[in-house]
Amino acid sequence: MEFLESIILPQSAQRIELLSYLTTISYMILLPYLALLFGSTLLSCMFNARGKSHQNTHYIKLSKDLISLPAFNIYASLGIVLLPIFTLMFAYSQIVQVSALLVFDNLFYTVFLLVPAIALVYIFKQSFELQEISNLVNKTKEESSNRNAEFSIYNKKIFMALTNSSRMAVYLLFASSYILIAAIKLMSDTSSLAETTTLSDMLFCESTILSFLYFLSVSFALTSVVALFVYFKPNSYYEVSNRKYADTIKRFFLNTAMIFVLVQPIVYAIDVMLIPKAALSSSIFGISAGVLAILLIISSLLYHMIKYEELKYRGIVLLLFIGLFALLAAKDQAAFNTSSQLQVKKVIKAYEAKTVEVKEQLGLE
Amino acid sequence: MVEENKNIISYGKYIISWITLILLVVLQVVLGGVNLGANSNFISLLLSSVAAFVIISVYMTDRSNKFISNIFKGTIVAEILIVVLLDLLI
Repeated sequence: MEFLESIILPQSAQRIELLSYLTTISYMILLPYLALLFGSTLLSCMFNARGKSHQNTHYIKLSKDLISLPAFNIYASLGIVLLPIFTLMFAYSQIVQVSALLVFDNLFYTVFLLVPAIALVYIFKQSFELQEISNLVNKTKEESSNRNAEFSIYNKKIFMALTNSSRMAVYLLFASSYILIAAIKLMSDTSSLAETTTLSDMLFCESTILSFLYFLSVSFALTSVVALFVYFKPNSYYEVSNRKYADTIKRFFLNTAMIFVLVQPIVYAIDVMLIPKAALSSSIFGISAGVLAILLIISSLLYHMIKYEELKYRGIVLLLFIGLFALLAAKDQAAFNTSSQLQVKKVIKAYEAKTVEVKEQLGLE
Repeated sequence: MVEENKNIISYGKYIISWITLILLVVLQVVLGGVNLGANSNFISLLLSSVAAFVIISVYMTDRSNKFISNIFKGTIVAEILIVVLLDLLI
């Protein structure tokens, strides 16, 4: 990635501020979608395996419903994931210039993990639909034994596609999310950029592991809240068609959301304690207070919904989760802005020198 | 008898297209500070064309009149092809 030095221009202070806002917007879109994608794929894979081993049709149906949550359109999914990653790559390389080389490289490699992961998620979703068609053919009591044999082979192939695609998607999403979190964590402490030279330095440090644990807890809680919001709209299919199934998934998602929301304050507090001194500022503490307040409100609303077995707050909880992600994005960016002040000053100096040089060449000074 | 309106689009689709448009604008602004040499114009035109395609396919599609919708979409596809061809030739 040596070409980076030649293509990245020194930036003015105003433009660096603008880039900082744009990275926050990118985080606000990328992180919730990646969390939803990872959480729903992992839960779907888990329920698919459990449904197959226990011969439980409810689990298999839940697995299919879960994977349909983030997989609405493959082009939209690719756009929502890839555009913010490219934005982050070029924005960081403009703000801290060549210091961001390791982050630029790793975000670039993440693209090669995320694209097949998204493709596999869609293959997983399509395999479910194929399996339903195949099951319908088996139910029609076809006379020809040849056709039955043909469909049993077809069924086995679909089963293999379901199992393999879901597992591979989970592994790839795990790896790409971990690298992305590690890159974000490294950028929030730019003082350690000079010491971090290899991928292992970036990946295996306690702050990265803890941030990833936080990401996992948020992804499970968010998946549960989105599932409650989507499945239990007034007069929805789930409310009307199958009462037993609806009650089972309602209980499961409420409990999962509650457990992972209750875990979050502890993990978040430890995560804040691990932020290096160079990245600390008053805005970090303000944002942390906001995050804890939102978590308190979410847990109170979830408790109310569990206690009275109703879902009237599911929309507010989803809205609060969007607010939570906005605050988390702002926190990472605030840490980066504080820790990167020295590098930014160097970039602004280079910009001013370049401006004088250009003006002299044009004969303006 | 009242005809069913075929142009009703779900809120989800609107939100996703809105997010995609925001991301395309953000990427365009960020790439403004990168010296891509001769490819600068090509990349910004390509990103604008993709944004235009999203707008046309979501907001300007008339499902009851496929002919008009296809003309709009065809114009954008032709524009993207011209941009690619110009970049290859120049």
